[in-house]
Amino acid sequence: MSQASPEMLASWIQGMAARDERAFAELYDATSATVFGLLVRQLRDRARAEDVAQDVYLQLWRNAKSFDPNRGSAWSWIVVMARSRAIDALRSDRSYGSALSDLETRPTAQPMGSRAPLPDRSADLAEQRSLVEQAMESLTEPQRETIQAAFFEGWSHREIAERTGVPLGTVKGRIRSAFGILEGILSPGLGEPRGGT
Amino acid sequence: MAADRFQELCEAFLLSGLEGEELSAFQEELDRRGREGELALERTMEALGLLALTARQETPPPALRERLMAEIRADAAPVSTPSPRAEPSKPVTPLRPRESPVASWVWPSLMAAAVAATVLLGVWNLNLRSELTDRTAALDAARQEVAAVENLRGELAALRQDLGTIVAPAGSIITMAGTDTRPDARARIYVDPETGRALVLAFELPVLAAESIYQLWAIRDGQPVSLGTFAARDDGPARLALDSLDPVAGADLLAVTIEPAPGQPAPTGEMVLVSGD
Repeated sequence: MSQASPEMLASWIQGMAARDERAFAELYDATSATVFGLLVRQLRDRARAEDVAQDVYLQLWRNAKSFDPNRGSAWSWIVVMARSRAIDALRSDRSYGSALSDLETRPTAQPMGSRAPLPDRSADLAEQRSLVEQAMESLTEPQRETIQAAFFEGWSHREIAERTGVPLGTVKGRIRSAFGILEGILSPGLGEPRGGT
Repeated sequence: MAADRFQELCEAFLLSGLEGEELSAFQEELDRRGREGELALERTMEALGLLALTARQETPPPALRERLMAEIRADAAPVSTPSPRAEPSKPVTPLRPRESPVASWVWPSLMAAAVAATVLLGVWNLNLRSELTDRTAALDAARQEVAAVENLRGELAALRQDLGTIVAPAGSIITMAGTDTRPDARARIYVDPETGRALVLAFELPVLAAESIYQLWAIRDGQPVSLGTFAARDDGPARLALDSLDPVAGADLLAVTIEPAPGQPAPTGEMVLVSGD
């Protein structure tokens, strides 16, 4: 995400609710690289990611009125929408199967974290990104791979267990650890891992 | 449900969705916890947003921005009817409901469901209204038919009664003739002493304007007594039934005059029929 604070994102979405196309342009320019990166990562196909990104941003435009800043951040709202669309796309055609196969045959999972330069105007989110990267470094490799499979591939806990041969309880524990750390970033002092191996 | 278990379900729900018993249990627990449960779900959603920050940034093609801005401008244009350009150029599938319980973060899905429900309710309402209109019309038609049958039944009973009076074995007939102003007019009064009923049938009387009416008088000792009023018809004789014979039996003279509607206490208008001697 570039050059945008959470407040700016919320403000643009509210502008979109008032049919302000400039607000949409600002939001797009600030978020599209991260959203598109997320979609490419999930779909592993730039053309499909482009299609889904178009759907996502149109949906953001049309549903902007439903955004309530008191019930979650604008960024998480965007991510949930984008990620849901990507998983829809994955599950709606054969590419889901190929995506699963691809992940299954990869020798090692990609490391977590963007290595793209962080914008200097979005101090809050840039700081968050940095904290996330640092926090994820504290996870073990299996923990990182597990949360990757769940987040980017949309695999269920059971699917991860079946494909990796890891017991279901262990999979759950690894995911809980990752979330515990992430929530600690949101609420300092709560960032201890919740367990898992 | 323990807090850890609920948290685990929140994470699983947001990451990949839940199914079957787990989904049911999650929904129940979310409902039971109320706002506290929603907050937990929202916190997990925020963590999910952080995970997205770890994705490598990729610059989308400039054409995507151009297409979107064209769509947005068309959508934002102040038109009275939706523009075809406002629709996405490629099929847009609905946001996956994520097998969701009722939670605040699923606004888009809930909105889509609400819109669909509204449309369905609208269609349902229209269908109900249409059905109600049809049934109301059918009921009105049936009522009119019943009323028509009742009228026919009443007319038939009156005709039977009239016929009984006309053919009464002990009956008698009083004739009336047209006056000089209505020489073609004539009338017969059928009297049935057994039933105490009389029937007046008048012929060749013109139909009067709405403000005038024919009135039958019995005159005894120079004093007129009104026996009733009647209207002429184009399709048959004018008719007046009398339920008492006393005025007729004791009358010196019977006469019909044209009076202002709805009738007068004493004759004031032109006499058109008069009984013979």
